[in-house]
Amino acid sequence: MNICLINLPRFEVHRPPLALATLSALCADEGFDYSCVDFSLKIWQELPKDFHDIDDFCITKQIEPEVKLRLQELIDDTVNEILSNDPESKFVMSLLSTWSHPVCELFCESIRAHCNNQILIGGGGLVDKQWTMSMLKNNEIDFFIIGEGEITFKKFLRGETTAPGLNNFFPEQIDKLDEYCVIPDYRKLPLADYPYLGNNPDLYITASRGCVRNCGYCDINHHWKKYRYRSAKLVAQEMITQYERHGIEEFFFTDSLVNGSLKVFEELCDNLIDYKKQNPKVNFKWRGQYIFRPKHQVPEGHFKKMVDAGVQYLIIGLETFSDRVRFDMDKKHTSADAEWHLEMFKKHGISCQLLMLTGWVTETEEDHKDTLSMFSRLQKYVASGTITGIELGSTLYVLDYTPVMAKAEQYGLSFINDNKWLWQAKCNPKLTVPERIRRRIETHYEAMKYYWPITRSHYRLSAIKKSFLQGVEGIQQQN
Amino acid sequence: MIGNDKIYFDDYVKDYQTIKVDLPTQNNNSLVLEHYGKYFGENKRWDTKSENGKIVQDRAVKVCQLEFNDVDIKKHLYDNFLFQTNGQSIKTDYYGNNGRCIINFEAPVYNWIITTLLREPMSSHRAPDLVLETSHSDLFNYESDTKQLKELEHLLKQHEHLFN
Repeated sequence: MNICLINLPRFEVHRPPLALATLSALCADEGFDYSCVDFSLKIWQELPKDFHDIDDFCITKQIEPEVKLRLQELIDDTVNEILSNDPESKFVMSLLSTWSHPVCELFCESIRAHCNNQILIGGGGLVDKQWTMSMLKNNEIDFFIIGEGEITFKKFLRGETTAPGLNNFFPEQIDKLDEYCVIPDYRKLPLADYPYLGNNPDLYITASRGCVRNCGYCDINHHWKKYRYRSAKLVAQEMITQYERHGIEEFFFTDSLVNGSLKVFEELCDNLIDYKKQNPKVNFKWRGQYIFRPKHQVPEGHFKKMVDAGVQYLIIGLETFSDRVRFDMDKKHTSADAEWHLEMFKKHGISCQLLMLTGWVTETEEDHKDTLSMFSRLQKYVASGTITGIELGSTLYVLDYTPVMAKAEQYGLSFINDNKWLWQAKCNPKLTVPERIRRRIETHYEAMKYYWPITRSHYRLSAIKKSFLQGVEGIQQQN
Repeated sequence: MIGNDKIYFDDYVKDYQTIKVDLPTQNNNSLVLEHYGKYFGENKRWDTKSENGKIVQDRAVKVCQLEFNDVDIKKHLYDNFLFQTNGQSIKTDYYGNNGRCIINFEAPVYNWIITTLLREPMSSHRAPDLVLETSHSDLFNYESDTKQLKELEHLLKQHEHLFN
């Protein structure tokens, strides 16, 4: 019997899906025949004109009837094709986020209309427990998997129907990743068909799960209770294997941070440097999310080693240029630490993108001015090509299960219409919703004044406008 | 080395030499790197000597680094600032002939570097590793940004009283 692994949108098509490659390796380990369908790529290839509308559908759940019809036809064709290869095929769908729900629902509907074969869903999209349970109760799916697939998916393949994380929200957590992690198998994915962003193909890779920080706005520690990492040797081995199998030399780390453990990070660099010495033709390049650390933790040799190992580009949450606010967020580094890193990046030729967050709960006008001062102070690093982008964000959204939400009472947080973006804090009454937007606008103008390259402007500003109007509507209805 | 028509350095360059210039700027400025006085047989004097078809002695200037306010723009030299010699413009950092490279620049210098040297290559650079921005294409699309910002400002004016 065949297992058909399907990757659902909303998923960037610029890189093959790691989840499918991991599930593929697990199927192979258990001796199952399997096939792969990257449905995001399929939409990109077969419905190019509808791609953006379907992308919007994932977020807004709104779609023009004729586009929906074409999408449904493509789903039906895909299901038919899978069943024509194996009428008994089980369907396993990977949902990166809750934005995968609309297409997942259509897929399940189509599968049910064609057959009674088992449907299993898994991935980040299942964090919405209500949606997941309704899918199960309404018989739109047979199984869902929460948490780490390396344990639970294997149990599912072995025919077990009760296991932690299988149709329940109590997954088992892997402590020693090396014992369970497999080398993702991309051999049944059409690697040559992906519209990669750079000149060369690249793959996702994961070296750790969880985070060593507990930043106020982030819910990662709710989903991954403990920070765990794979040994540097096995991560390097995965990169080498993908190079040997596919000739791929470029990688993007999905980790919340690549330098969570400095020791392991440096060991990874050492492993890659050694391999490159033995194989001079290989030119590994890699990118990922990184944290600034206190200067004393990262001597200059650290940066040279990073470059020698192939580090090319890093994404870093700076959030603010106010030390007070950043410590309030529990970020554990200063603006001076950030500048030290940028100076080292400049010297060694590493580029980076900075992520910002306007309107932290305790941010004052003075803090905001500190952030505005950053654009002239750090402009040198834009000119040197060190900072290649800045993400100004949509201001603070108070996510559930975050440290800021845990302190809701302390801060005196209240929400308009229960919308977590439309918050007001008694501890900082001047920071109203309009004031946060005003500061965000001012930040944007300052960034433009100093010619910073701003990423995702349209998306972010549209989101702010939409949320603000929701707030206006909510208040008007109350009145 | 001539900055805004004033000579800042006029001497032999030996081995690796760092020449630092504190150049007062105005809106429009120029920096000229000139290699002159090399003999090609004039008065029977040659600065280049060759043996068996190989150059064994030469006189030239190679630009290894070119920094403006601590920012190295050397990588932009080839495409933007050509070496003018014998009526030709050459993409090179090796000034083997007599000639000059003129760098016209504006102040503030970082604005000039970003808008003149970096903007075009970066505009087509897509945010490489942030998911879910399939429509993203231009990091410097300030016109569109400004339009959206103005719209937001207008909405704020219209409705902010509701939040008081």
